[in-house]
Amino acid sequence: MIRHLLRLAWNRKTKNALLSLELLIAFVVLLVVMILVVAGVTYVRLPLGYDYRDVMAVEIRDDITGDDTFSEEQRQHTNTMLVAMRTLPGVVHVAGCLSPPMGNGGNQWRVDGDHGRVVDFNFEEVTDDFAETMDIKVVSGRWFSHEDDASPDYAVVVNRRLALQALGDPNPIGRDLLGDAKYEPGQRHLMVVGVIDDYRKGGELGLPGNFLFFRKSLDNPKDRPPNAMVIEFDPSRRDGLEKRIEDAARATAPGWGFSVKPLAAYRAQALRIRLAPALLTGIVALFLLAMVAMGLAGVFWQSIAQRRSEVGVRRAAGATARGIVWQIVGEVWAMVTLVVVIGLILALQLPLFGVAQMIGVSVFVVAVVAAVVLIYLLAGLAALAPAALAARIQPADALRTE
Amino acid sequence: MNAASLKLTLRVLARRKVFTAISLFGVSFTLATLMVVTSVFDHAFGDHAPDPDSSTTLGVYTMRLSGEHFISSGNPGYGFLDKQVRTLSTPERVVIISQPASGSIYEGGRKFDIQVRNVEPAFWDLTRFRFLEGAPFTADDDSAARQVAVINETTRRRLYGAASAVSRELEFEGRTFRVVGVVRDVSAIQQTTAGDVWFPMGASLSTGDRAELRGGYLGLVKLKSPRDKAAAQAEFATRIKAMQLPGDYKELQSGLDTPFEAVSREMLSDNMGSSHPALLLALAFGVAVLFMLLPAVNLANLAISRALERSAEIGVRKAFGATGRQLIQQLLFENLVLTVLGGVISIPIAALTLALVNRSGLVDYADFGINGRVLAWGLAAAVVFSVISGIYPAWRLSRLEPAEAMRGRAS
Repeated sequence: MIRHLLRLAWNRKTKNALLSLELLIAFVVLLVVMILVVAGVTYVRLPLGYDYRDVMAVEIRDDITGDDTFSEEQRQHTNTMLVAMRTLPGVVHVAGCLSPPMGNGGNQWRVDGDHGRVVDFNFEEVTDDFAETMDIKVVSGRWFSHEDDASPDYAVVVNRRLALQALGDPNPIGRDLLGDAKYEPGQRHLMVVGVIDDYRKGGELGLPGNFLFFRKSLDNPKDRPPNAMVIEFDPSRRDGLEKRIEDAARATAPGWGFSVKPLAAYRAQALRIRLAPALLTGIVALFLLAMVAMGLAGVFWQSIAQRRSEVGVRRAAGATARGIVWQIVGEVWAMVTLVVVIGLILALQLPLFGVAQMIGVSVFVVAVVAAVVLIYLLAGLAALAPAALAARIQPADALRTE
Repeated sequence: MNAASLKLTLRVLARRKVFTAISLFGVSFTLATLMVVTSVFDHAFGDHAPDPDSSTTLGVYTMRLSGEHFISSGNPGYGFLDKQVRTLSTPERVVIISQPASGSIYEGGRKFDIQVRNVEPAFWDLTRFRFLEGAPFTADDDSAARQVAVINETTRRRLYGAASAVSRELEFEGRTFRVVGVVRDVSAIQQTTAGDVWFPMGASLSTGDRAELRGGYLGLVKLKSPRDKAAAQAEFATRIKAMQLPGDYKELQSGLDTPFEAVSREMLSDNMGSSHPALLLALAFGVAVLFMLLPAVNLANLAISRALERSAEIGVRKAFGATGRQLIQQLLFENLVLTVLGGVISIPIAALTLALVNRSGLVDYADFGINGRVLAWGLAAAVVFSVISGIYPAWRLSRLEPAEAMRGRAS
């Protein structure tokens, strides 16, 4: 039966070319929507790796010219500021960093590892108090401390994903992140001192990725002072905290600008920025699919109206109403099967462009399977009403008009 | 095509109401989506008050500095604009403004997050702001570094309620500013004029920024006449080529652009050395056509099935000597009427969607709407859509064999 239907679909291939094209494009639309949905649902459930609640973020617009040159006086301003923050009523922990989590800033690095591997990751430079302030969980090794002061290398803390990807070792404490890669003379090694669960800087909807922390030492006169601070506070003493922070910061560094906002506000903004385009795409796609469903129903309706006599003959020869419905839905599904085969061949090209690796292979596979199931459902649903109509055709009526 | 064929077409459409309704749903949804997108584009790049007159104003919006091992790109800095752009001889005048920066005003124990800009006083001459009360700050205010501010109406309402704001004070970054004027809100999509509060550059420019090559500022360049555009661009290009770059910087890329050219420079040029607005526009059209593909195929399928019902009619017309060309014309015309009808329906749908977007808070102070330009693009889209969805069905039906068609056996 199935083989017969498939052969029927194949025989009508030129006649159905335009319909197949429509189904194929609809399949692509469904695939895009499913990738968005599956990725969103998967990412939202992954742990962030830190606690954004009861944390205030301060972005500092200092008067430092250029990216790296700063005076000792400017550095001292920032250090005094960090100390002053700790003494404010209601403040629990204070740390410095390059940019607050959930914000839109970010820094990427690509380096050559050993055996021709490329290691890439997002990174952040933080002071020793950062893990405590953000409640980051160290799963093996340790967080930065004064032990790292004397180290000639970069002490780095990486997330588990990066440890596994770069070295294939979930516990690479004391190892060089780049393995046996050759360094240029004078270049500092990346020595792993600790592994954390994760640090998803982009927030709940950000792509999970490799992450690395460098240590920012406030005592080292060559380290650029932090561009931002994170301040954990006691929620019962939240009232007026922003103003206290801003006033205290200004007192230590007159003439600098500050933006003080709770991380929850950053998070709301990050969600809005990531969700809005996905939501708009989703709405447009839903309308497109509704349009396709209605269009297909119209076309099937018309083609059944033309096949009244054929249906009549089948009924006269003993086919049941249910049999007719299944035959029509089956014919449509046979056509969908040919389309799905082409669609899958196209979809399998995506991993070549790195799409699957970017969003995660399991997300990609689930999305493809969901899209296949949904295209059958969509076409089946569009065929159902016309098929039910066909099932009501009385053999006598149909044959009389012949 | 005449009134009779229009009447005939409407008859045909009215005969199969379900088919027509399904077709109209697809057409109007497609055109409404395109119109919404066009409206957003138009508000970002079109000539909208209070932006400066787009025919005579260019800007330095983007810059890229590269060295051996690093690249830094984004907005130009004050120092660069002051030394290299202000001194150009072709333009009539150059106005430097800062990018919006977020900050907070504390008033009555409450915190208000705002977007702040520092602007030179000539900014108010170049732009077309409407002052609801008070007046802009002046060159005197600027040179005397007076702490004065212009605010928008929303900030006035948040800080002072319904009362007048002129001469009231606001505290920002530990300093007290006096409000001198209140302007209408500007949609955040208008990148040169959006903001909540404007301070004079003289009172706010930091010593660090004064020398900065890159970051945080925009230069608006007013030309004496639109014809000077190429000359000004050439002068600027020569100027940056001759620049002595500090430190390890090897190359500086920038341009004198319209906002759209600036975006195309950022998106399409590897090193921001050139701008390709025509290519960006072509890409946008390509995306629009790609988006129309599914609705067009859907409509074509419906049109074929609907017309097969009329195969007897087509057969008769063929038998009486109608040429394929005439039939194609008739079917294309029918499709055009259908699309234009859908286009008319799509106008209120697009307007409603834009009103929803305005209220959603997605863009601060959004005032997206439909204007003449958007309507014209919508009409163009309707015609394009009608052709790509109608040409294949018309061609296929015109090739029916008359005898077969009359028997209703066409396929």
